Amino acid sequence: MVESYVIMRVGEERYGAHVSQVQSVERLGEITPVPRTLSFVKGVIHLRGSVVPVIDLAERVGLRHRVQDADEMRVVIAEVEDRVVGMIVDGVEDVVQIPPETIEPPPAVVGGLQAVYLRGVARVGNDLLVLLNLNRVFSAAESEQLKQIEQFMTS
Amino acid sequence: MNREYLDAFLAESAENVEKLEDGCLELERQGPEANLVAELFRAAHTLKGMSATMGFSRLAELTHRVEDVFGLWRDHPESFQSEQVDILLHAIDRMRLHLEAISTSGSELDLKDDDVMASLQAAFQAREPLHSSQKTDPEEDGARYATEAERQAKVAYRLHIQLSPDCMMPGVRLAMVYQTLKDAADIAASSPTEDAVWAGDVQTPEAYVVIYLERDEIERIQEKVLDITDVARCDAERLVASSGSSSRQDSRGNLASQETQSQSMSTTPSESAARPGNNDSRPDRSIRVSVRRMDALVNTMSEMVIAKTRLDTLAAASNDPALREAVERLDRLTKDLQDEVMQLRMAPVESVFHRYPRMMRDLERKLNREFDFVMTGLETEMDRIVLEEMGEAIVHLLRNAVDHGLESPEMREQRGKPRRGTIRLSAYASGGHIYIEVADDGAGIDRARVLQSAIAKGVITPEEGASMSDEAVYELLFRSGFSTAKEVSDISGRGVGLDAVRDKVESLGGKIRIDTELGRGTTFVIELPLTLAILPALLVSVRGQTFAIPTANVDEVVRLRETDLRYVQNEPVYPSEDRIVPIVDVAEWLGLGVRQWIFPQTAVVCRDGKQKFVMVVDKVLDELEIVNKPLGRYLEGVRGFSGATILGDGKVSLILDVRSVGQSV
Repeated sequence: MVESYVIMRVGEERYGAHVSQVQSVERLGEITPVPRTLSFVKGVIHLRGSVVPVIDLAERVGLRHRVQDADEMRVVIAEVEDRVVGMIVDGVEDVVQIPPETIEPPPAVVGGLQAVYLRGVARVGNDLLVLLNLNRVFSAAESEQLKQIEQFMTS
Repeated sequence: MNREYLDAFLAESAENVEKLEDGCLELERQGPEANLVAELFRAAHTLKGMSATMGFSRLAELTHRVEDVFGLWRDHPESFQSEQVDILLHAIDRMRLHLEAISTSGSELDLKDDDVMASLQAAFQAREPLHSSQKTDPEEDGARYATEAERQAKVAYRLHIQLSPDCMMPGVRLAMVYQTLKDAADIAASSPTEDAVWAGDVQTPEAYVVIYLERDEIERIQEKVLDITDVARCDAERLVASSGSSSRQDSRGNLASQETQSQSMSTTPSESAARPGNNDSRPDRSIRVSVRRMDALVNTMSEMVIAKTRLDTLAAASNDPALREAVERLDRLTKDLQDEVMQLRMAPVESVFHRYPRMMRDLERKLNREFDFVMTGLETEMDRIVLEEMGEAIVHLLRNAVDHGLESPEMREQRGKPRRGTIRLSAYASGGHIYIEVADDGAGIDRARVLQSAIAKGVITPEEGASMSDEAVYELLFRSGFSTAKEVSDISGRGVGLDAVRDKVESLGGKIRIDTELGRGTTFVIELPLTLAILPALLVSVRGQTFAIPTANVDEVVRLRETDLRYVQNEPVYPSEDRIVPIVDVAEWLGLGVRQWIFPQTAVVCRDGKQKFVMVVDKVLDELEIVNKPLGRYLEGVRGFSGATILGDGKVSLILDVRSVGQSV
């Protein structure tokens, strides 16, 4: 039994997202900014009749984009616990099969990323692939959002 | 266990539990009417059987005891005591708990039902006949009607009319049935009563009618009744005058023999013999569609509207008459399709209202009131989402009516009013809006007392109070300060949580007002939009970004000149009609840029309930119908926007939440 992961490139790093959580991969189109929200929330996009929020994954996890062609950038649409969110990444490379038993628990910090955002690490060929825990990536954003609102309300 | 079987079991059990609850409430009103008790017995029996088959022994045991009680009442109606209905309702609540647990965890609650069991057992053993409150004996009644018919040289029949279970408008259908019967015979007695049927207050899918016939032409009458849409069965039983006949007693006490004795007719006789009560062959049937698929359809529909708008623009720029004509036709078809699809989003208010009768009954007991709770317009359809959102607010108003609207029975008698009050919940559609009314015939609202209390709280000055219209005075009850103040609600008889109700109504784009007459009662009237999915809006541009403002919130668009402005503590305000309204610079509020006014400055005068304010924008672009799209759970914490819409060019535009802008000024 192997599981499939979509490999996304952010800056110099590659991250894996479980296919069951990925709905589709889209070209980067026009984004409508949403004012008064967190800086990594880039806005909303029109996706086949729906309105979907998009976040900048690099900014979210504290990394930098590699300066590159916007044509290569993609929006990975993921659905986690009823939340549909698009993640802007520098590119989508491949779908790989990873046997679950080869996944190791994440070290405390990998390439500047906190362990809470990680599901684990797996060896793909000669490279180490960091598997994202999208539930964390998305839900933490929500609670930060709430924190910010509270600050806004009390200020 | 197979989830499919389990789901089927849960669905059917829920139906039976509901049947039991409704029946118990009916039982309490009209006593142990033979057919009603038989029906309850059957429902309990079915539930018991299914639970046992599925291995849910606690549920089976519980229903078994309930069935015993119904069995007792069926065979000995004289042992019925209306107080025992409470015990049954408790048991029904317990069944619900078990079913909920089964639904979520797959197994029953780990709960001993001893308490409920014991009281059921006690009810079962309470065979003491109640001579004091001699209920009308249906057996005696039958004979009485027969005697009376004989006296008039007529024959008496008892008809049992059943509508098909998916009948949308039982009240209307029963009215048609009664009219048909009236034309052909005399109606001697009926349940529901004629008055209730004519008043449209009826929601039950069946009726019992005793008719007197000049000639014995019952079959012709049955045929006529069965010709009416949605009538599934019309069973007739001839009533006989001579009492003491044992065969008749059997037909009453025992369901099976009753059916053999009565003339039974159905719309499809051959089929009903094999599958009694089954209405599969009836026209205009419905299908179940999941909400998710429904939403997907609406989504695709709105995308099509967007694509069509784009085509409109292209066609308008072209000189090809054939193209224009084709696009015009597409336009009309899209509009029709849109109406149809939106119609599918609608749900009858009954889907939410059906839980209120039980709640009202419990409140009646708890608060020592006496009243009839009447619901009308149950078939009225409104947007499913609006309806679900309104559920709690209506509960609030109903509680309020029982607790603060109605007087105690003693007080009512003192004031020369009937001891029993009436609380009415009605729904109806009119002029593009849906109205929901909660009315009581209680004490009404005392203007003087409301004012007195408002003045005491410093909300208004005595001078202001003297010049206020009645409407403005009642409006005070919706102020949040009022609502939480306990002593006010006691004095004025109103005001608990009314601000929350108004907030909810207004967040759904609706309005609420109070009609009241001292000593006669109070009515809360809620006006709601037909649907939230499509709304007219103003498109405005702010620093190059396009936003939509719902037209429902817009009073007018003005061009402000520098001389129009006044300043209060260095903040610009706008004198509009009778008052000074605050100004919000949308660019500044959204953090899109600093204030840079260019006079004459375009501004939108907005309203949210009583609050009025001016929003300064760069430009007004258009006014059009937009499709409201939720921003989704991920952004639900973001304030300032109620949703988004997709414009003709495929771009997304955010819908400004006028309420939250208004709250910040």
